[in-house]
Amino acid sequence: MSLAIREAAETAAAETTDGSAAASEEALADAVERALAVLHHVDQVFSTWQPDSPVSRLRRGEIGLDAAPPEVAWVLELCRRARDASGGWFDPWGLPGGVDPTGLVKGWAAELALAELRGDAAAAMINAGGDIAVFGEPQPDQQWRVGIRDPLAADRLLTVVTLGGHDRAVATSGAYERGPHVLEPGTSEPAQGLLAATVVGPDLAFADALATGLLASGGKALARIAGLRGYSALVVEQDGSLRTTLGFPAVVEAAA
Amino acid sequence: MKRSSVVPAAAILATAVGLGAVLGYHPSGGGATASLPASVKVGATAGVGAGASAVGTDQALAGGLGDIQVRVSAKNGKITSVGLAKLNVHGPQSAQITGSVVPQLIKETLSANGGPIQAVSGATYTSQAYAASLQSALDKIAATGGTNAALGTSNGNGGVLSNPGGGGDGGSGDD
Repeated sequence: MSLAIREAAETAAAETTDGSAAASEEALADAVERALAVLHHVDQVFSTWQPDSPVSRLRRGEIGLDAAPPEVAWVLELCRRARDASGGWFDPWGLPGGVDPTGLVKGWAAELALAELRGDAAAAMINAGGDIAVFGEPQPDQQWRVGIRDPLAADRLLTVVTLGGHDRAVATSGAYERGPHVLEPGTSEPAQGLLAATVVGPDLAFADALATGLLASGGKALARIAGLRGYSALVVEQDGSLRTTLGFPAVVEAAA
Repeated sequence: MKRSSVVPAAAILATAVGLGAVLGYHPSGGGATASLPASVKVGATAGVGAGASAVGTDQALAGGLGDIQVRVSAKNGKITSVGLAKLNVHGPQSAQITGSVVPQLIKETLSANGGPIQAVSGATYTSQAYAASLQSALDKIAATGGTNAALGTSNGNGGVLSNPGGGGDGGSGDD
């Protein structure tokens, strides 16, 4: 998880001897602390590795949803929406061992952490293991630029996307880091057909879930994502060929 | 029933540090520098691993929705070539986008060599490994400030390409 932030403009413009600048610096540092605290909190609530976490207990049926922290119910609602949006390809309820919302939680946590910075930073990016959300501009009049990793080579990029406006989150799912791990619906076989799937959109929680579902679908969900307002996608086929939906922001800068 | 699920394979969950921990910080150039929490240090930037081979194959562009290839190769952090991989645009207006965007896509990919890239999106340890990964990342932030990953900024040297997971083996290169 990495975090990049840019100071609010007024902070940068202020004289360093100005008391308000110092106050802003302190506020920004506090915001970073809050962002990290949010991530810790989410981890404690949603961890499926810690046996005593609320979600672990929920999965074992030891507690009901009403006894879990309220954010669990909200995340499950988001999971339902993402499941519907993906045409069922993203399904946290389709797993053995109980509901597992972690396919959405990472992006959701990143968005929460980013929100903590909004008041005190002019711009920020959070990179949650290759799933990325931003706000603002990295430098004045610049856009965030995010490379999309070539699934066949860790040190190569397929392309670069620019993030700005409504395109402020990008998530990629692929089998290349862990080997095939997403199961094809109904067959219990590893999903085939795609090396990777990338989704860009206004919310990282949804983008993350949709990328997972798109990979699981073997590409069948691409048309469905194309129909979701604000979201676009890129898939890498087994032979390395690429397909995108209309509007995938691989290029938005005018040719120089 | 449609579903996506994660195989809980222990082998691939070990040292799940796909969320390579680093917290980079970039003052905006105005002179003021905010203080960071004591536990946080600025992460080092890293270039593309040296020695990446240049690979590229050419394939003629076909008309309409034809196959177009785009592949970059990097060596010592510099993109050295643009090869080809098929690009098929999906959607009713494919023809338009194929004609107008792809040449820019190639150009843009190359221009990454001269412009900053702030991050790389790629698959990492997600889903079930998330908790362990995140905790690991946070612990590393607290303990060391992290040394992995890169946050390209306005340094202008381009080629600031970070491998989000840190290594081709799927780990984050810092352990």
